Amino acid sequence: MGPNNNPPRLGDLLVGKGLLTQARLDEAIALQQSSGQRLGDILLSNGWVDPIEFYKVRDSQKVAPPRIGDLLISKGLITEMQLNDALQLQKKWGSRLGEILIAKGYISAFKFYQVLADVNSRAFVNLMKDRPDVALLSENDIEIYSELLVLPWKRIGEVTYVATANPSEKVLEFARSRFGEQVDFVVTSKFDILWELQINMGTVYSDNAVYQLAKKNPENSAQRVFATWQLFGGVMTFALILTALTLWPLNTVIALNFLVALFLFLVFGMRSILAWVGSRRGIDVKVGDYQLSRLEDKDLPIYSILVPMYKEAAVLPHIAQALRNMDYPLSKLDIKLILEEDDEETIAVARSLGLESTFEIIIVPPSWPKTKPKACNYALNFCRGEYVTIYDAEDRPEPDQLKKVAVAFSSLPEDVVCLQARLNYFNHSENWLARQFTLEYSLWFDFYLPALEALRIPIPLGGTSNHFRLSVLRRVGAWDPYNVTEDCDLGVRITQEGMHVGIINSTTYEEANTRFGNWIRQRSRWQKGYMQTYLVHMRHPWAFYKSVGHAGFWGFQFFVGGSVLGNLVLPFLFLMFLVYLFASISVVNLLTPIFPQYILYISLFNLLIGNGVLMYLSMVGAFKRHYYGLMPYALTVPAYWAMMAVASYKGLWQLINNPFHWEKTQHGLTKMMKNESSAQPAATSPQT
Amino acid sequence: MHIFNQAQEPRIFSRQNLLVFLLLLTGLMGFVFWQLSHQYASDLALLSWSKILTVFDAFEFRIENLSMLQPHMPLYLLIPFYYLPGEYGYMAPYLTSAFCAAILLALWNHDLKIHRYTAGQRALLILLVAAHPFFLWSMSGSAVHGLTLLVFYLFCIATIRLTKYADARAFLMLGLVLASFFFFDELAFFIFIAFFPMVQLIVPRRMLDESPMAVYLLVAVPLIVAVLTWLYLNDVFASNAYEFLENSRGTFRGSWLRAENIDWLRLFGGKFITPALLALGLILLAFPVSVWLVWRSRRHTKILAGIVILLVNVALAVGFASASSYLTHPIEILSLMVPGLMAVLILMPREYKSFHRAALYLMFVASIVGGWYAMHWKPTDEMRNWLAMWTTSEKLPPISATDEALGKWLKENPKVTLIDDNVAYRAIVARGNAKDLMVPFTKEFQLALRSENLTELNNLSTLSSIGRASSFKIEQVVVQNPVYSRYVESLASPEVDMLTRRHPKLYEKGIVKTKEKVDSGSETKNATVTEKVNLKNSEPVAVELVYDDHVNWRVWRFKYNEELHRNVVQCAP
Repeated sequence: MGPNNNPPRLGDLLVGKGLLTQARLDEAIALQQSSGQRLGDILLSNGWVDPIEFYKVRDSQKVAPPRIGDLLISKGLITEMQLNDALQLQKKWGSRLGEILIAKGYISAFKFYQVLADVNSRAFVNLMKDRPDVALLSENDIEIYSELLVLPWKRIGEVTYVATANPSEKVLEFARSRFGEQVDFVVTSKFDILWELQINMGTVYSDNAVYQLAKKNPENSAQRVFATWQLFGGVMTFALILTALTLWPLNTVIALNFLVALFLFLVFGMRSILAWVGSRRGIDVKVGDYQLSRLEDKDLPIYSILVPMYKEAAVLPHIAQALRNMDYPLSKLDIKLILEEDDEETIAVARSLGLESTFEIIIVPPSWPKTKPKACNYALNFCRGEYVTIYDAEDRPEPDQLKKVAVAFSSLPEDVVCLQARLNYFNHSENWLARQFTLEYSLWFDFYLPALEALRIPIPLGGTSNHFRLSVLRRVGAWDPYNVTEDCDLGVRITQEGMHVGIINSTTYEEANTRFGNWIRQRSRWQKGYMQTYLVHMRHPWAFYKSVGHAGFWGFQFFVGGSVLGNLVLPFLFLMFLVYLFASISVVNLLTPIFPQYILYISLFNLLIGNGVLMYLSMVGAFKRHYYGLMPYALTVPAYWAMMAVASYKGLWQLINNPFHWEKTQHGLTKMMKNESSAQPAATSPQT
Repeated sequence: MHIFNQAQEPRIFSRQNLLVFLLLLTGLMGFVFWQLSHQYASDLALLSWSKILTVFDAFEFRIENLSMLQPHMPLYLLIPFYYLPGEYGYMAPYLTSAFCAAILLALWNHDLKIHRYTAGQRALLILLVAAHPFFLWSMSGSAVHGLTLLVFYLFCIATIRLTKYADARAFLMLGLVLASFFFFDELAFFIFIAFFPMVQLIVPRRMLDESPMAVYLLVAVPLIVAVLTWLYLNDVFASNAYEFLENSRGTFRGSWLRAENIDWLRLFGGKFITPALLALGLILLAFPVSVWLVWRSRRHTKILAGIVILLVNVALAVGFASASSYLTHPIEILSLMVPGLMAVLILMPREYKSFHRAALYLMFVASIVGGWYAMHWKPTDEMRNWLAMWTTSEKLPPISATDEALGKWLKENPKVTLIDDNVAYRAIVARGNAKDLMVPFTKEFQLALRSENLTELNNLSTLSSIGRASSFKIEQVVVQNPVYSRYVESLASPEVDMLTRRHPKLYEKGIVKTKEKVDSGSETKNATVTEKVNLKNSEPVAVELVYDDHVNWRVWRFKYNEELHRNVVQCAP
């Protein structure tokens, strides 16, 4: 304190701490008087004082800096009521005030960061107008840029300035480590940083999104559809079969018949076991209401949500609303709307909606392959959360899903790195196709997947609502951009790495396909993806077996492989059944030689008991969701199986001709969605 | 598989449970041996074992040769006994039944343990149940009926689970049990028909309100699939989907063919209400413990409903089975009360007061006494034999002395023989094996049926499905007396054998050769002869009656003409 009980002066404090000599101080004061600059600016620009030490001393001055909330009110940017609300939420959520104000839409990001600059006595920069010097940017630091929300901006004189939306010691340490002692920072909006990163580093991000897995782990990339030995083996096998058919036609057909019958028998057996295990009460209840009630918002981490979309302008308002309805602190949501650069319509709608600052638009530059996993890989670079998940544009997750996952992750062992929520459909009774789809999904997610988890068999993830520990996701190389069921592949890969996937007792409701053509396109992609996944992970069967174990290996064969093979052979089996039923005896007798005793017994078992049980399981599948009205439709499931066969052949054809083509599924076709309002009410302040 | 909180279930496969099972098995098998020492035999058991012998001793093994006229699963359980050395295989049905009954009691012991019954209490209850005559009769008196008791217990447990939780697993259990039941025992059909209307008393109201069709489908579809499966298999293997219902030999028809000879069916065949009410009366007589349980559970709606459903289910099943002339005696279905009441005890809270426990045990004792009285009411022949076994140390007479004698003779004269095992099964069991027996599923037998006059039966080549050829020379044929009518109440069907039906003179005149005139230009009378016989040069081929019991059976043996190297036989016109 000075002799007049005034707060000590900054210069005196610096001299007193030995950070500045008196001579330098006098020189700086002289410059201040002549130039009118602030003392701190002069000291920093000339490098006469260490910036970190300078700010420490400045902050230790008894003169407290203005509180940002008060400043915002004084500037008329927010109201007292809004500030009080934000302060209440701050206590509850544990987030910073600014994040809360922006998330609630009380203030735009642009205006807030301007005021933040004032609080830090720094300049504010609009990076869209005052672009950074690209020479200062480094590809090696792109992860740090997005993590710290910092971007090297300009060199003015001897001082290198970094633009940041999050002034902190870490930012300055980073700046010093890159640019030496003479550094300073300016404040900018986080959206400007993200925008600049996309513009300047888009190519790097894009390359990583496409090639990272292929470079780091080529054996697990579907960039190469067939391994050499698979191709060679496939051709040789085909040739051998043709030769055998020529030389020993009957015995060859009998042998093939036997293999198919045995395989289907084992597939049936496995599904029965899975259904039985999955029917156990409480098998996948990981998080109960009690645990949720004890959870405090301030303990929750930041959660990144990826929402990849392509030509889905119509459904964008719905997903935005669904995400707003999530029971999770808004300030801790890091939502990325991932749009392709050529999808101008959706981009325009996204901008016009005036979404809250919680939503960030990520524009994916064009590159090949143009797939959802590639887009997600791209956006992953900008994620800041501890956990990350994916939602599709038509999704409606249960509001407490994120909290349940957070609780589960905190209580489960570290090697559980992914949690799959259950998927189902909100338009489950719209038509016959939607009903079948719902029955199928209910059986899959409510019975099969929990059983796979219990039996330690690799879980083929669903296309959405997979929740990951972000650091692990990045470590395993994220999604394979070449695999059109990247989710299935990732689930297997995680298990190969010795980690685990769990199922969480929360549901995301999607839009069931209600049109045949659309369904075929979607299902053919899934089947193609399953084929890709199978081929990739069976490139080194022995290594795969050692990595996933006995149950995992055979479970993979019969669950993933079985799904594909079962659909492909179905038409032949149906045909033989129809011939037996309707053809004349002489025609039927033609089939008799290819069904010797033992094959006949297995085939009859598969036909009668196998199909009967699977039909019954379709019926029971809807049980956990109380969709009792759907159950009678399970009796018509053979027609649905026939459709799956058609889709499988389409997928097989595409695997050979166009393996990386992403058959886009059209959404927004359900009557339910059409009847709902199409636009989300605009946020109180537009995002800038 | 349990109705209780699965997180707390002790493991079912444990050393202790295994020990209990072995003890029970020893006890029950001891009883079976004691029973067999009296030479007691169940007709259905004999039929089952003979099926195993004929199918496994045949030149080519095919499962469908077990015939589609009876459920297969009880037969499959007998298969391991075929491979045991010696000729003790006839015990297989009884031992298998005892094995299943031991599993049932061991399972019950495990469930009682979870319900916190002490070891002493469990031992006493098991003893009381095992001593009930209905249990003993079912376990030892028929063919693998212990399996039916076990499956019915599982059915009751599944129903209890459905009542308690109505979750997916409950429906899966119930569906699995009902579907399996059909392949174990034809009674499944009657049990299901009686149970089906009562489903609405068990499932949650919400389910019924939302979709009653779903509820009934969940319960019915497994059994429907099982029935459709059987229809399809009949179509594939018997060329007629309804063969198992239309063929009078089918066990699915029960005793309808012998209805006139069976007391119960004579009185109540074709009726429903009276037998159902009588069944209730018999239940009260044979199981007064059910009254005690009803009284004890009067304040617990769900438990009371469970007991009432059990009683009504069993009684209605008796009614349905009588209406379709299936039953020989209501005990066939009433014996299911034993596992039913065992399941009810699982449903009910354990009796804590010693007075109530003592009363429970006393009521079980009363049930044992009542059961003996019930068994003496219009017993069948087999039941009479079984009851007599308890009061005499003498050996029981065989079901058919003539069949047994034939079997022993066939054993001493092991030749390639045409024989209908559907009527001569007792003889086959007495023989000890079915080697070189040409039974109806063999091509030789079918050729004999197709032939106008049993021609060309020697040197037949039988080409198996795997390409092996073998030659058989039929050396003799067993023929049943067509006018013999047997007053039996056995579960098997004592029809006249197919050979006699096809060739009515076969028993009387045997196989005699006659000259066949062949006029030039005209076709031979016997179009099935593979080569024309120059009858001018042929010599009569003799047949010899080598066995005649003067009651039921004859055996004709062929004598071949070695010069002709073929055997041309012809029935007398």
